[in-house]
Amino acid sequence: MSEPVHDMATRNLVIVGGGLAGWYAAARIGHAMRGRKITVRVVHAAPPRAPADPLDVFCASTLPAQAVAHAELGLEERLFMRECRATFKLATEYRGFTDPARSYMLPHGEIGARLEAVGFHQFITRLAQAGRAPDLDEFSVPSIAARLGRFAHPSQDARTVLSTYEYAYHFDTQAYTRLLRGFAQRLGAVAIDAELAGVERSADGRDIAALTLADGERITGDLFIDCSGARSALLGATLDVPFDSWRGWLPCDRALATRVPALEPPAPFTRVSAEAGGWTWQVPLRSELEQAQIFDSSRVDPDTALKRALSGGAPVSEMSFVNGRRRELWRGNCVAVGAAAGFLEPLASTGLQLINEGVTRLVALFPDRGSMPTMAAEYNRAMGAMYDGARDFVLLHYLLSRRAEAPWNVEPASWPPSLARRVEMFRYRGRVVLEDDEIFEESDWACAFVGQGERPARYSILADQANDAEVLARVAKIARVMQAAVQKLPPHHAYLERYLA
Amino acid sequence: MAAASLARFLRPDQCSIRLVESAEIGIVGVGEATVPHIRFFNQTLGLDEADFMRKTHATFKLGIEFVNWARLGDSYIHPFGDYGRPFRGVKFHQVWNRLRLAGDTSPIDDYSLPIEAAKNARFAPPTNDPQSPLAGFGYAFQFDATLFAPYLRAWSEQRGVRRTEGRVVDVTLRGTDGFIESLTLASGEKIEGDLFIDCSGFFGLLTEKSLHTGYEDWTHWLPCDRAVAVPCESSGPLLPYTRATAHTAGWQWRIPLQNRIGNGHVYSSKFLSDDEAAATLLKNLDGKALAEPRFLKFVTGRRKKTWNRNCVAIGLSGGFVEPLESTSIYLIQAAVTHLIELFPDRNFDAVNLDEYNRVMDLEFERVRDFIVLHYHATERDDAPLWNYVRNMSIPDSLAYKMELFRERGVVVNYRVGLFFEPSWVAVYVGQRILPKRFDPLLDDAPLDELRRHMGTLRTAVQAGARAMPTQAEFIARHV
Repeated sequence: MSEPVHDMATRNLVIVGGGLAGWYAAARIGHAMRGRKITVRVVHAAPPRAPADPLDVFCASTLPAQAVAHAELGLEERLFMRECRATFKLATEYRGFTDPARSYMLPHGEIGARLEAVGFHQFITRLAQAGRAPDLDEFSVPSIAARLGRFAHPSQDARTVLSTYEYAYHFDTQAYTRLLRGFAQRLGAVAIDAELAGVERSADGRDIAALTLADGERITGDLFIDCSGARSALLGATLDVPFDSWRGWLPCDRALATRVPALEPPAPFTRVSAEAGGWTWQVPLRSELEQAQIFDSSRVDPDTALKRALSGGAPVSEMSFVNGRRRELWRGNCVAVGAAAGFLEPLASTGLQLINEGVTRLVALFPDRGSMPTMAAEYNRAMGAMYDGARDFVLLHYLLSRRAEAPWNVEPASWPPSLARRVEMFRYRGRVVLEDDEIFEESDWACAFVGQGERPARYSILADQANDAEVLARVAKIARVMQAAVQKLPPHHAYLERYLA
Repeated sequence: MAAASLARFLRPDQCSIRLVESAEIGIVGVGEATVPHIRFFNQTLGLDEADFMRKTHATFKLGIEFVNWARLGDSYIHPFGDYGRPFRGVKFHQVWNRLRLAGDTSPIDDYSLPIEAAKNARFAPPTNDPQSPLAGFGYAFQFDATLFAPYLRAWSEQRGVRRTEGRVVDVTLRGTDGFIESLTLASGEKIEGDLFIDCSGFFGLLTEKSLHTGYEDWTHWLPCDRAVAVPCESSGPLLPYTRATAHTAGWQWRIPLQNRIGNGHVYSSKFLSDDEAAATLLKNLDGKALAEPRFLKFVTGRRKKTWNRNCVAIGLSGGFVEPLESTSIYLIQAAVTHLIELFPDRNFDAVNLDEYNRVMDLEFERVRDFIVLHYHATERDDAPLWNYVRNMSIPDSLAYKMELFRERGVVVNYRVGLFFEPSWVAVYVGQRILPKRFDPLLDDAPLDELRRHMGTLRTAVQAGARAMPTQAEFIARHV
């Protein structure tokens, strides 16, 4: 057999949009394809008065997969953390989502210990039914460490409870985008600093044929990656893929973000707090704190909100958005990544993760020009499920809230069937229903459900092997061992200073 | 298996378990091959491996050899383990495919330790050290199911399961909702229960004869509907794998036990008479037949609801997919595991049953699709059965997976159900579904560098297999 002629290879990649999504895609694809005969061009000037893309403005609060993605890229952690003023993240604290006085942690790590082949939350349900209701937060090393402001990298030794967690980051998105841009350009990506003036469809209307730039240049490509933000200049505006809005479920549509100098050492967790009309978030960088309000503009007057935000004295970024996604995320020779594909308010830190999943899958399914429809179908199946699963996860915080004011007390006309099923099964017996392609795993869903005040009506027979006293003793021991182990960890800021010195 | 698992996880003060069986009704199974999950089942019950193997005449199993499937004369092994190792983050099978498209001819089998060991009749258990050449694979067993059942019976009875010998002559349903209220035995004894588990076989004594649950017929995808089985004397080395040899209207299994070999011919009655099937079977034995051939009839498919009202159908009463990939015991195990996870109270709420049926449907359908792949992906045109399966339409859930592999070697992974990426790669490649293109991540990789990587792996596989004793030696020493 002779060497096949690779005349169908996708060699000419054009990325539209130079924000976080665009440069992240350029860096990851450039790295995966390093050494290949491939050109990556990034058309990166935003048109004048384009609305700011929230993904580019908010600080990034990531999920643990980001550390894995960086390892794959060969992006050195210390360098990245210094450049992006990053801090470590062990959890997200949800305040006031059930009732105003309560808070709970969504940690990046295991809950409890594997006592039987069943989720630890089943034991908590059992104890709750016996009149004891220990808090799930006491059974997670990252939750305990987050509350105490401590951090160290997880241990590699599987025998210690200090190996039972992962970690994520908080960082400055613009600094990160610059870092990725440099990284991508060193790998050969070409930045084209020009505004997009027009997009041409192919003769049959199914593909993107070329872009026209403001300076008149015409750019053709084999594969176009639409990172143009919510306007979705290629996939939506040109190829007419409809946008399915989730507004009926997730009514927030505005955000105001501001940075203030930190008065306290950075916490190793993100804090989100439910408020009347929406919610707020606090993301700690090395020496600043980002504060943001996310709200429903039909319920909170944007001017009043802005005035309040401005009273802090720092500049305020204003953003509008609609939660939802494109019905297809890849059509023809065009894949959308970031807000051009869909947007989900950052209540569960999914922004960068959805970009990351999209780019990872695009690399795994990287098409030849002959295989676009096959690869697009699989990408749409898997990534569509990822977006919808993430939406369910955010939405459960609304629909399972016990707060008495809007939007928390609003019952939508109907629930997404997938979420209705998940909630029904959890309420029925603490079972977490997982689809094939999901960002969040069993312990994440269980923590969120329990944190939102759901108490399953039954627990698993697997949690019913020993008597109450034995279970209580084992559970108490787990909490004790975790508590003692966390006490040995250094304060987060001290660890950061030493690690990044 | 159901009684033992439930006895393991249900507290006797909360639930009593009774098992009704009749010695008049025989057990199907003449040498059962399994997948590695069986070891988890045994560990959960705390069975001692050597004791279990002695009492069921078991052998170790590293995979299944498929002979004559894609073409007459073809042979490949579906191993329980990974192929090779990735190259700079690119999956091994993509590297192999890159070189294949460049004209290299080394079979993918050369990069699998369990295959190399199997071919040489060798066996040693895997080590936990991922760097060791003896890592990265699993194993299962081949055993005598007629001996495993009494073994589990003794285990269960010691833990409080009450066994009643008797034949069920009547099933009484509750007037209000049609739930099963009681069974009446030939002796006149009435047995009442909250939950009934129907392990009565194809017949579906409770789920079908009483509850009329209905059956989804998959014969249009898997046309075989008969089997004829016979044990024979052992000959030659004790092989640590099952063999499935395709014939003209079906296929023949060969399952080596310590003391004999189990054989059977699965065929389609549309294309072959029972006499011809038995003759083919007897002609293709390694040694002297030890019994008269026994015939079995079946309809491939699945009960419409494997859990209906207060009756869960487990085993053949729940559904049947021919044992080409040794999945029968796995599907029993999966049913029992899901039942324990979703163990009901006396309300039998629909939400719970629906969830059980959702996951069991997936379990069955994913096994079915994998089996359909073996038939459909053939080039054989020498007999009507092969012409039929080659041209038939296949489930969409399989069609798109095959297309993705054929296009570029992409394997679709899923959460619920059997068969991970290496299994799909083994069967795609073995059935000659070969990717048209290579992974673009390897576009620039210098071929000689890839060849060096492959050479190292091949040498390691050979060395690893050489370091193992023969299975016969290993069993003599440890079992």
